[in-house]
Amino acid sequence: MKNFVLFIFCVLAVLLQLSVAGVFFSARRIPDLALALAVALVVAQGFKKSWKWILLLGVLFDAGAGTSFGMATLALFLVGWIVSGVAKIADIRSKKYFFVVSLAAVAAFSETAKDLLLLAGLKMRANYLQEPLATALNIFSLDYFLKIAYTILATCAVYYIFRRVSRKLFLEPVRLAKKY
Amino acid sequence: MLRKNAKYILVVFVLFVIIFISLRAGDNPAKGFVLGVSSPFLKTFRIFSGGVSGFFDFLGSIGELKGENEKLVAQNQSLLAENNRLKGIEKENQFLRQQLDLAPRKNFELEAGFVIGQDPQGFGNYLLIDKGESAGIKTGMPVIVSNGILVGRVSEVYGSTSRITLVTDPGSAINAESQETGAKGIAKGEYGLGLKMDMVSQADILNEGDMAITSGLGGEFPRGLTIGKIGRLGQSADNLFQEASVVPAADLSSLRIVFVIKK
Repeated sequence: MKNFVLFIFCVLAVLLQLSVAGVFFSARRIPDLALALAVALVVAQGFKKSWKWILLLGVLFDAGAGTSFGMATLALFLVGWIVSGVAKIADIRSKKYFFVVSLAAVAAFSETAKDLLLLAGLKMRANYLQEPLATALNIFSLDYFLKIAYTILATCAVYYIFRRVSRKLFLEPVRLAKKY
Repeated sequence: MLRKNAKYILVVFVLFVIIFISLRAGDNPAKGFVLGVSSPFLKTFRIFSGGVSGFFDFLGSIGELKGENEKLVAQNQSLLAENNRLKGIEKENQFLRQQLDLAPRKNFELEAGFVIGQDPQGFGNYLLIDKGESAGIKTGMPVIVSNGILVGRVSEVYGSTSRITLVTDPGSAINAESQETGAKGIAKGEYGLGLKMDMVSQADILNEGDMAITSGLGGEFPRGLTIGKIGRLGQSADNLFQEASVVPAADLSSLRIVFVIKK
């Protein structure tokens, strides 16, 4: 059951980002829902339990992205791994506001790290194929600031939804089973 | 430490191998497979979100409808007058098209495609459409909107989907000319912000407000497709050529249906 729910989460995140987000956000401000889910998963249940889902997210994302197959997967995987190093955040869950601020900081860091990793990958591809690099990333622009802000909001929302769903679907049945 | 992370290091290594293979293989079957499976879902989501977005736009514009209606009535009257004038120009246009060897738009073999996705990262400027190899789409085919405005070209083709690289993509370069003066140059994408027409000879005349169209040089695009309106004029860094900004004629952020020119 848990696996099925996580699978649906992954598919929905990528489908929404690829298809729906562009209708509501301008191209350079689209929130990174796949990254939001990856970060939320790592923070909620640790990298050890999440890395397979991050790979699935990456593979789905790679299919729709303009980068070479595997690049987004690698970027998401590395970011998830790095975030797990900062997972001490989980210990301060009781302090609600501090946790939200920490989660926002982790999301912002992850988004920037992922984009820089992808840009590095694109540069390597351009060098390898001897083509000009046909992209640019300006992390000091309003567009990028808004993209990060939307991704932070998405991360908080996804984390909240995931915690609610996992409590309802995964923990309560266990509690009930123990009770009876 | 190394043993603890050996599994993850192995995954990273495998991903590097996949990327390397993917770089070498022009066509990517894995991408095609995942896109093929997800294409109907992407399409459904897109249609639904378009409806929701339209509904909110409608709610937001109720207050403006009255004023807009009055404006439209006035506009309608002037358009009726202009319509009569344009009928005469249409005949003249047909004659001129024959003389200038412009491709008549109705003669294109078009394949309509529904936009089902866009660049999820904001790095490039492309769209995904729901038509692919099975519909006879091939790499390099020009893509227009209904009224002959060029929006991009097909860059990757899968079984039932295709990727369209928009004219504003930094990797896009189109042989262009000024419709009014015939000044030739190359229209290049400017990181999603618009286009820049450069390599225009100093001897040619380029005017602000002229229309940039495809010149047909190189044979990639038929001649006469509208690219956009020429904006601010300038000089290249070495002062050897003229250059100008070009504002795309179509709103590339809200495309829903596009047409691929097959022939």
